[in-house]
Amino acid sequence: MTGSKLNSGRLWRMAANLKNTWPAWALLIGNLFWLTPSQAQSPAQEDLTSFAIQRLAQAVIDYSAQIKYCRQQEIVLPPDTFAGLEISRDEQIAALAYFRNKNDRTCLGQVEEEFLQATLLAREAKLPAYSAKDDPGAEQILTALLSRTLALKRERPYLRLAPALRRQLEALPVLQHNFDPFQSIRSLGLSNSDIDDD
Amino acid sequence: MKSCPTIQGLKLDQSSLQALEQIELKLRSLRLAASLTSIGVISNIFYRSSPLQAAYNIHATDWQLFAQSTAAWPRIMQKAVTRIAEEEHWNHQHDRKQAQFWEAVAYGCKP
Repeated sequence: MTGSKLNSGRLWRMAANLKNTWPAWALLIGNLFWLTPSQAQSPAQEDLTSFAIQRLAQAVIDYSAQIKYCRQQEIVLPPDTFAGLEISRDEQIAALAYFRNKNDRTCLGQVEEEFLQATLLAREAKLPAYSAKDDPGAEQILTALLSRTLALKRERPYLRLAPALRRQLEALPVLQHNFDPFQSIRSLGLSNSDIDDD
Repeated sequence: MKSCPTIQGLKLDQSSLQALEQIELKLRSLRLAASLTSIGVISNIFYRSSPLQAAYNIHATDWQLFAQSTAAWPRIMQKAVTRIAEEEHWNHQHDRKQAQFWEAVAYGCKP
């Protein structure tokens, strides 16, 4: 049975770290039942499956922890963030959206990359919910790629800003921190609560 | 966490409807009871906002149900939904009601 190949010490260490990571639990436990001898996988496939399970379980734990850490690191941008710059409200919004996505990705960094790789491997190893059969639209991979997709989308309005303004923005240390977008918008006085609805 | 906004006369545009659809797809991929409840809540919003119905109201009870179901999602799924909601929030900086709606979806609220 392939499941027995999983290192039990490693599994218990993972278990000790589990909090809000029950998908990893479900994956591990589910696969212990799923991978029965009757399925007669080849040794190479068994090895790949075992490797993919361990890697995905660890990636889910690490990524979940990093998401929590990055959220805790978020600051609220001070009201004078754009002081001294000639920048319109729409330009401020374009800049905030760009830096928010960029900084969040930077914070998640290599952990997010590992989650993507583990997800790709899980599909290749045909793990339940990840295989092409179970997930024909590759939704799991698209979820793992979501931050890249959105960050790329936000580059377009940012690159429309004048190069001189972009250089000024990129020189502001406070904009290089990960920040809470909603609280920062309010702090900067950009909240659209005064805008008419229609 | 802010208090949940009661949004009167909310009209979701094409971008918002597509984002709801995207969230629904991701939740379906979870295949969990908690996500199915959330799909129910989102579908309710989605269908109430069809072109046949010009506008509708979101009440505290809608958010209450939404908050209950999102609390059970894995953190990675919460993050994915937050990202989609943030993106829509940026897209609706000239529409107060849709911006309010997406902020509440992004980080939840206390009914």
